[in-house]
Amino acid sequence: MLYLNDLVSHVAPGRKSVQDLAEELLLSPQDVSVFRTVFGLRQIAVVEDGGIFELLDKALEKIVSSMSVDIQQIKYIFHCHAAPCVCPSGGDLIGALKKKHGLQHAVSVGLAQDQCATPLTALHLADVLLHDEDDDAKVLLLTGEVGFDARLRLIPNTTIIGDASAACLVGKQGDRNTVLAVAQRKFEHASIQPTTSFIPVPATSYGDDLIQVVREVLNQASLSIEQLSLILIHNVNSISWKFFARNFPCPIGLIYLDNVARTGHCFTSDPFMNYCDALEAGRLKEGDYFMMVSVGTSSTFAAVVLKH
Amino acid sequence: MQDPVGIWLISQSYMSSPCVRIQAYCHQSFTEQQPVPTVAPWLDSYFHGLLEPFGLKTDLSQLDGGRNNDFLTMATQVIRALQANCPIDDVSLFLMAHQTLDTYFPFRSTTTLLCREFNIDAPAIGLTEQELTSPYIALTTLLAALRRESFTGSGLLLVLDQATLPYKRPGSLENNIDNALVMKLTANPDAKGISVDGKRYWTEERSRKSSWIVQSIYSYLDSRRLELKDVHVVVDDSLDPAVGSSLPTSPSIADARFMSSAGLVSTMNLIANGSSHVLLVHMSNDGHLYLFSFGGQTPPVSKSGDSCST
Repeated sequence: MLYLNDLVSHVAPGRKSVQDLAEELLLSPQDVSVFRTVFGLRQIAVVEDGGIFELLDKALEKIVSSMSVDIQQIKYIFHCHAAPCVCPSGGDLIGALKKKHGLQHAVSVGLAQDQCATPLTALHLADVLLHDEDDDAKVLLLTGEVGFDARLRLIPNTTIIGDASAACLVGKQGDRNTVLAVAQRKFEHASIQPTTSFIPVPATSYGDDLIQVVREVLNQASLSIEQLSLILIHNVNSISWKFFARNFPCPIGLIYLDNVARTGHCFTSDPFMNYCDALEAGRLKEGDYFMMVSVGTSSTFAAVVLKH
Repeated sequence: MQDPVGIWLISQSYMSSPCVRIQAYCHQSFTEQQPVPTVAPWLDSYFHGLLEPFGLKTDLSQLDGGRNNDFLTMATQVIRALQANCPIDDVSLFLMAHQTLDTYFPFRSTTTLLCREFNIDAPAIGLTEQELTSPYIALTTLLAALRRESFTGSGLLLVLDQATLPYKRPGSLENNIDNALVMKLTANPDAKGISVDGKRYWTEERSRKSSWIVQSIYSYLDSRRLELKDVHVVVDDSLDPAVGSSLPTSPSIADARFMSSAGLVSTMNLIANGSSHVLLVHMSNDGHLYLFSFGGQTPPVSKSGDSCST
């Protein structure tokens, strides 16, 4: 059994409106209107000073200062990112952060390839590695990257991406956020043909695939959607979640959409960031069942059911 | 046209006790020069934004003389070659590890594309950004997974690197070769193959001397009921040369041309050439010592084994 012991997030303090980003992202007035009125995006969180190091540093500072465990209990650090690479060979990112925060004893590695779903699929590796460790051992899931290029900032006709980071301590012991079930699927839409262009998930199947994974994880947890108190989502846009709510079906109020307008879709950090904000807003109570869901652009869908 | 370095199905059965085995293995180098890609993301600002925070500079001239083999092409070929000798339809965990970056545009996934191509219906994830160490973290993870009672099926480890990058990589060698390695691991007691086991050690930086490494090697071998004289030791670039000189016999130096595959390629080549026991030694940049034993009379490791204890 896994537990999410401690979670913190840091949202880059800068904000740009969709209109502000129109020139940089080559958005037409019509695009801006669609992103605002149909997709529900308003403000995008952006790093104004510093870069990925500072972004991750903020999340690490928060988790190290607030966590309820001894730092020596952290055995692994997974930096989960959406892009295949955020630190090229020859550079050092996590090593310097580990040194700063006294985490040299932990094994660290970058995890990628499931894009924005990576921190949820990483739970599988955390489970595997914790099995061989002491009962109080922890894996630290670290998320966060910066949209330094227009093609990182924009997924055409889908979302605009913001900058945030998060840290989540995962352990075999805990008193909250029990992981009841994890489901992940890679669906059939990806092409094997090498190409340098973005391959969008066909809109027609996205909704069906999402529903399938959510059903699968609920089945694993032996729960119905009515028993959930909250669904913590990727903040790609609001329209896709409205479709989900209509087609699953479930009340739209079950889905935590607040950050879609406030930050945009922040790479891999959304579910953890939404957890922190929902908790602060009083949306989760002790004993509540809730779900985290995320989707990678390569058609990796991941969902986790937890008990708070 | 690729230059096969080694492809063989493991047929040796060194022991019958339950442990993790390498059931099949394939390594290929890719020496044919591919044309320089002419479209994004190679030749634009993306790489500048990626490299600049780390003090690295985009240098597109690196592409002109390079081989430009990409991860997807190499991985597809090496897995296909392995699959021709050994079915992979029972893979339950697929890990891809690499030192150099996957140059495809962000939001594409090499592992997803490979899963679709080879009908792998299993978690598949990439491990990276730890220089030469990522494959050893991946192997440690697979060993831990395979030893679990609840784990069914096999594990697939893919290690690959491309030498042609749009920047001069610190530490790169002129003769680095685009290459890919794949091994299928199993804990099936009926399967034949080379046994593999491993353990990670860590100590405070001030204590991390060559004497500590040598002591850890002896401790590890002792726990496996092996003696140093009976094993062929392979070390990679990561290790202080003083370690080698402290051992009774000189270790083999892994073939650095193969970047993060080097240690595993050299190990498997030694086994292919008749070595019955190989000890692979690697020290990560952040001071973790990885020791892996391959082949021979490695004793069985229980399901709650200690390959990752510190």
